[in-house]
Amino acid sequence: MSDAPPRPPRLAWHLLAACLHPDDREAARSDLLEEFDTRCHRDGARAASRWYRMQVRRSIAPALIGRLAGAWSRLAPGRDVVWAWRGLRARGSGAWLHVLLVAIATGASAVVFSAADAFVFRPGAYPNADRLVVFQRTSPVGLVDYLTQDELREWRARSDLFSAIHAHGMLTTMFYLHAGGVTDAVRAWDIAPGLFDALGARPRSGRPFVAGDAEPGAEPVVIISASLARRLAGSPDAAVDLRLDSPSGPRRVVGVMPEDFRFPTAQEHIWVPLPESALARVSPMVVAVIAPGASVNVIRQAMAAGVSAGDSGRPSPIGPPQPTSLAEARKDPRALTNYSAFSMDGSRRLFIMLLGTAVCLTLIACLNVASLNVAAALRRAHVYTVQTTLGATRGSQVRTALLEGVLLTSAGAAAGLCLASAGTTWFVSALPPALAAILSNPIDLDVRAVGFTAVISFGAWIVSSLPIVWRASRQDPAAALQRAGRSMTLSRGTATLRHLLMTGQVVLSVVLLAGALLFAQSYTARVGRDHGFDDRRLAFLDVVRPRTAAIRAQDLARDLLDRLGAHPAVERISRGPQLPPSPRASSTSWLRIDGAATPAGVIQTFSYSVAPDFFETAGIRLAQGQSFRASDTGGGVVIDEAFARRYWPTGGALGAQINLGRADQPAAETYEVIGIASNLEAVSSAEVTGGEAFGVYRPLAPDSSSLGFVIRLTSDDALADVAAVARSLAPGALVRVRTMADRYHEVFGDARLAMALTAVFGTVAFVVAIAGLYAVTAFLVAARAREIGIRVALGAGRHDIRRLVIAPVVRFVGLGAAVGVVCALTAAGWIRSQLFGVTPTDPWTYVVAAALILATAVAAAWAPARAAARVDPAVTLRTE
Amino acid sequence: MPGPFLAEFELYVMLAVTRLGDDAYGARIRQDIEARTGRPVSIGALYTTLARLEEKGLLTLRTARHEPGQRGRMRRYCRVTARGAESVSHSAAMLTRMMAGLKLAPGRQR
Repeated sequence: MSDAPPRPPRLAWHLLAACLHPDDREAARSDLLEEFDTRCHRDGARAASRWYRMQVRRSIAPALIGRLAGAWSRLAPGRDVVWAWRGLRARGSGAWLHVLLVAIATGASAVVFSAADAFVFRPGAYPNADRLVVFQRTSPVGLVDYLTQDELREWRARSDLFSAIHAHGMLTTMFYLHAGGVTDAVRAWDIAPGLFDALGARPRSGRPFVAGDAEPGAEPVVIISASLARRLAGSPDAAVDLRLDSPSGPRRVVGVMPEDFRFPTAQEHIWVPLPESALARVSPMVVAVIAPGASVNVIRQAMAAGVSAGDSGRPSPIGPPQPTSLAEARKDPRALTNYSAFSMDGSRRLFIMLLGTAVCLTLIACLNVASLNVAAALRRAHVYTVQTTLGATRGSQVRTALLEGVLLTSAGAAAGLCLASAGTTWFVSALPPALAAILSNPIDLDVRAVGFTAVISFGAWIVSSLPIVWRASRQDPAAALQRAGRSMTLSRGTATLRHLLMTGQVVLSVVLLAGALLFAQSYTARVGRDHGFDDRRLAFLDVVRPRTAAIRAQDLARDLLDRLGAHPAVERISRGPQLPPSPRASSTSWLRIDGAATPAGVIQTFSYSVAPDFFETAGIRLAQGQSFRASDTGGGVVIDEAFARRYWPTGGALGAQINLGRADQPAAETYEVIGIASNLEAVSSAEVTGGEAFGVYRPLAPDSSSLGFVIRLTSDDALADVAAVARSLAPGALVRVRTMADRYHEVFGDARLAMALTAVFGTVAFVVAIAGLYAVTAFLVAARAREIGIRVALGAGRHDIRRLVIAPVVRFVGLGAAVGVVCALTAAGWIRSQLFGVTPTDPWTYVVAAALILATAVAAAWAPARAAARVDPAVTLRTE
Repeated sequence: MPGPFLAEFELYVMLAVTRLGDDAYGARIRQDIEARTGRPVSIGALYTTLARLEEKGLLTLRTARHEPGQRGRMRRYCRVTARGAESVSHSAAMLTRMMAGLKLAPGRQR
């Protein structure tokens, strides 16, 4: 029998030891052994072992809980938060500035990214987009999207390529809805009954179109958008079976589309079934369904191999159709719109440019945050050292510094989210019509941009503060305390770092300022240039009578001319189109001169029917000949100078006979040129690509039902009076009065948006950079107070001290300006298509931007320099 | 200041340490509480409580090498601090005041 004392269960002990705190293990083991021995003697080894195991079982849970609680209290996040909060309070206004910078950067980035996402990155929500194709073709006025009747017949027969080809287009144009005494025009779009099914879109209420809806004699029906349904009936689901008044008679609502559905753009709210018979009159846009087994590439090859004869009436400058997958085309909104005069590629560039602007602003904010942080961390370096001496671990100091960054960045991100929400709402309301027309997705606030900017800002915090905290915790506390009583001594590296951060901000500020100046010049040139008419106090009146109006259009026109012509607010009034013209209003024709059988060429024309006094009212100069006489019923036309120069370069346009018809057949009418008017500059926010467009004016027929008027006002405040008179003469009619400012907003809205946003971003970046520069200079002056005091004591004059402070500012800001000019020149080439009347390399733009920032930087550094020059060495050195 | 309020088990531990005086170490404390209250006390719960009381400043702990002839390496001796004594008195007084005037049935001893 062994004399060795009985041993307690080893496995149980190891299990308990793993759960106990290391400091308690030996003592607990000793206690358990002591009692185990006692029980062994009293109750026997087996009972003692049972007791031992029971002790272990009962001890594991409390031991683990105790260890976790101890670890939590040692981590002491609550304590870290308290220290972080104290650190933030010690920063004072610097903390608020940090929050403001992060908020501005976050808000700007989120707004711009949300808009860019809606316009550029996010494809439209058509589930079947990858099995659908659209067709784009070049024309003198840009890309257009349609198939001719011959092409439609040919490709519909190719069942190996297409399961179906659904037509759509703007035939009905507008519904005039009357509600609450107000008449509103709502854009409608005609679609083949199966088109929505092909897109994979179904109404949320009611039913889709069926084939019978487009048959002759079928009940007139429409499908409407959810937003229109809400306006008409209070809720989308209550609008089914409502009756709407259309130009062709009342129509019943049979379906309401889902909330975010758009086709082809956000501006269409009513869809009308398109009968096949209508396709004989127009060349429609189409959406084609790819047949099983076929693909976009197969279709492209087939179309390239068998070039369609095309509609023989179409001029050859119209290119052949190019099929594109709808999924790809939705990234370029040109695919489903007919707004070919507006450069869709330009809109993508615009938003990507704005995105780059927001990124620059974010980087400036981050550089400023880093600069502020470096200064604050240096000022508190001795505090970190002393904390380490008193027992704070490096880990806890790093945690505290990180927590400070998290708190500040979170506050900035939260404020930025509020700014972004307000900014997105403003952006949607301020969206110019030209951009709203191509918007295929709603602009929703994208919180990813908020998170991304917050992460970038936090990264700037980490990079700028942690190295200083880490280093300070390793320094000699005595030396640190000694230094704390004096002005800081900055290492050369730290001073250079702060200067480089400042230089980086200057570079980005110059880029933004140059961009803002370019866009401002471009917009001013667009609006301010001579458009060929006198735009001062000019307004345009359009009246759309209700279908059931008792008064005839001709009588209403006469009444409007009489009443408004006698109104004191109206200087002149005439029947005619609104100006400036849009290339959307142009048409393509074959020109024949003086009865020649062979056409002289294909031309693009703006054809207007105008009253005889139109030219005088609109301020369009007649260079030669005369306007129409009141008795003229036709036969004479007025052309513009560009038209005359192009085809009669040596003169002789007056009296010429012109015919505008088809390639194979002249038009029925031939016109005599009786006058030559000054050119009307065709305008769009991006210039018409290629081709020329000429003005052709015909006399307005006496029985014309056109109710468009050009009005020269006596003052700009008289617009409301004009509208009131028109409404009084045409109750229930849609009356639209627009000034030239409204027209410019319609056609130049995107240029104005670019100018406004780049100006705002550029100004904010400029202010932030200059504020940061002032802070850096003041900080460096304070850090060098001792040195300055010694210099003054040794005989340095005030001028010398000022130069000591300002010279580095000029050096680094000058370097930043030079680099910024180079970067701006590189970036400006990318926005060439967005500019008008100014080249991307306009030298004065860059000179002004660089000079502005340099002059402002010197002014910002002047105050600290002057303070430094007034240092009293006796006071400074005694304080040291 | 009377010191922090003691939870039930903390009070038992403090009372046991007070009673045992210089002989207050883990095993003796555990046995004393278990004997007087009749409730099982685990060594893990005891040491967790001792650590908590030390953190609150109510106890001091001293590690001593084992005496020859005894198994195990060390003992953890406890001593009540002045603040701990005040807490014990305060907690006991509160219990006494709460029980004043009540006719309670005597508890069972296991």
